[in-house]
Amino acid sequence: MGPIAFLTALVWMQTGESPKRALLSEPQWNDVEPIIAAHCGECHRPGGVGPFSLLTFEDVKKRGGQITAVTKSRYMPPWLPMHGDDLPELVGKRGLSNQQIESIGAWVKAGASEGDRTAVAAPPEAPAPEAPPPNEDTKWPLGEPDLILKLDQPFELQAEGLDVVHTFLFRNDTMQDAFIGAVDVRCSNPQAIHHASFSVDQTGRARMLDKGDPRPGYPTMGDIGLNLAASHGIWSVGSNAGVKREQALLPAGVARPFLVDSDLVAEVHFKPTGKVERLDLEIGVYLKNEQITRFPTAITLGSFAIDIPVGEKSYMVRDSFVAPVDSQLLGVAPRAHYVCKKMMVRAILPDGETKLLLRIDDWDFNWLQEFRFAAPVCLPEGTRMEMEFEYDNSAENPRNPNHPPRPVRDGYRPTEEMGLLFLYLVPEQRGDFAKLEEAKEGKLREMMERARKQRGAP
Amino acid sequence: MRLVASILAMIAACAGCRSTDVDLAGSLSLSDAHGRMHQPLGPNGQQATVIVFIAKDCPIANGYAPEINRIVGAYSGAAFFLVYADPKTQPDDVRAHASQFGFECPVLLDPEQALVRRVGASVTPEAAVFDGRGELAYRGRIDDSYTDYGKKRAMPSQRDLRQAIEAVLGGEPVREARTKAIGCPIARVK
Repeated sequence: MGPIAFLTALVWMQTGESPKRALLSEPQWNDVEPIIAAHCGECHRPGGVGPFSLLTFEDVKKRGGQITAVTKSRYMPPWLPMHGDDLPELVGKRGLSNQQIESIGAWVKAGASEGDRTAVAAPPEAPAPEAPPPNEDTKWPLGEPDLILKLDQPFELQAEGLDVVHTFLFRNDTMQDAFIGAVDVRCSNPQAIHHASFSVDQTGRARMLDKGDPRPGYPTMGDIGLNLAASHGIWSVGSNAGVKREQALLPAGVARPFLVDSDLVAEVHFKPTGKVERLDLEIGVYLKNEQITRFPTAITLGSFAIDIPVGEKSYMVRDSFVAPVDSQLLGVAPRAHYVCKKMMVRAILPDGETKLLLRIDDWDFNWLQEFRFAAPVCLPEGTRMEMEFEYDNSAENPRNPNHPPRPVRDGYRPTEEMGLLFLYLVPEQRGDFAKLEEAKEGKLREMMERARKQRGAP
Repeated sequence: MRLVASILAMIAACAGCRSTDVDLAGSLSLSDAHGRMHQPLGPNGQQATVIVFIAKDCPIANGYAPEINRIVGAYSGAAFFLVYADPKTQPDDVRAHASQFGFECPVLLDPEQALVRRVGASVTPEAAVFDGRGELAYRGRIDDSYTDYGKKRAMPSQRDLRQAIEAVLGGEPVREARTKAIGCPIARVK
């Protein structure tokens, strides 16, 4: 190679095609900002439920490494169900595409610079306006609720531990029957709350339990009876973020009853934060004003007799339920703790067609929620609903709360396990409500009978 | 290039030999939330110096506060410092945060991240234990409660920081001198 050729080669190396192309395809803040704003900003905003804000360039740059790690592992944005053409669309679906995750990672790796965005897009004194947060004036993502139920004194939460479950009651003292379309929850420290399961008590039993404990509400660990507490749905942190009010409300003509003088019972799971918290809790209730023709029935499937030996890597809970009348499935809520790994829910239609409804391959109790279908799923009479949960009680399960593993039995404590699925069904014909309620009771009796036999009790 | 780098590395290494570690470390002064200066790596007459890097808005670090407080209370033979790794942390934030979480040892600001770099900390919470001669005897997690983001055990099976402190106080080598801490990555300014 002569000196000229060498020089040319050097110049080509400096200015050649390939490095330039690499530079052009490198993601810029311009590319990353809309991803973060749309997929993280709903919760990670000042006053939001995320532990820190990700609204500005500085916020995102500072946490670049963390954002790369948690998006790659798909820990964030939190969303457990698999996406797919064969699966029905769910309300409030979250998730990033592989390409979006790669863009974030590449931008952070290249130094997370703001680039010349301000020079090109707008003068520095007028940065691109951020989308105003929805209903910021009320701080309720679904808008001002019709009814706000509050604790009469703050709830004191211990500084540490895996999970604290406490039940609170809110009486309907409005002198009129209420019909609930949606609920939301606000906690003075959103970091400290995890989810709340709702039901309604008309028997006064919850009130008696409440009287027995001097604090607001009463602890629920190990208590049974009222604990199938999701008949009125489940709220979880961030579950209404980015959801429109009309999506959050039950379909037209459908509501959950909250009759005069009954108690709305909220079984709340708290997450200790490292310091003792004095928490204010508010339940925002969105009422239905139209003519209500149908109530949802919460059908419970699963097992009350979980018993997983140490080291068992694939313990299965399977159960099914046959729709006794033409029904619509509004949503499902799985309930399991830390040892559970996978979940599958499907419908076998009377003509033999199988519809996959929910698939979770890496269950995480921290993101337990109710999954609502964007359009109710029609279940003709005779449709067989099947659930299949898989548990891993080996030391290799990184979420196993017991180290070394211990036998895990059925129970409400986070170190015990649950394997329940709630199906929220409404009958196509309003006259069929009683049949669904009957089927619910029958299913519950069958499960209890099965549990008695499995435990070997007489 | 590589040659220059190795020469620089040699110079740096020699500098390290000449001025003793204690001198080098002793020059590192950090302010606490009340403006008092501390030399966390300076000679303090203690057999062990424990530094834990934290952040006011890291949920994992905050969740460890009760265990940090227990460790601080358990080893009277060691000096403890909590250091806010985010250089933008303000004294007001530190005072409020430290009082909320009940920290009782000195809480320091590290506006230049000098201590972060010196220790090589990468996340919060991450702990370091220096022995009486100023040598870094341990760096890593407090315990193995977390196996990944969002994956937490009910109880840790290994309490690495306690073991490291006990080893150093007993004049013994730390069995696992470096562990990987799980937490919020520290954004380095330099």
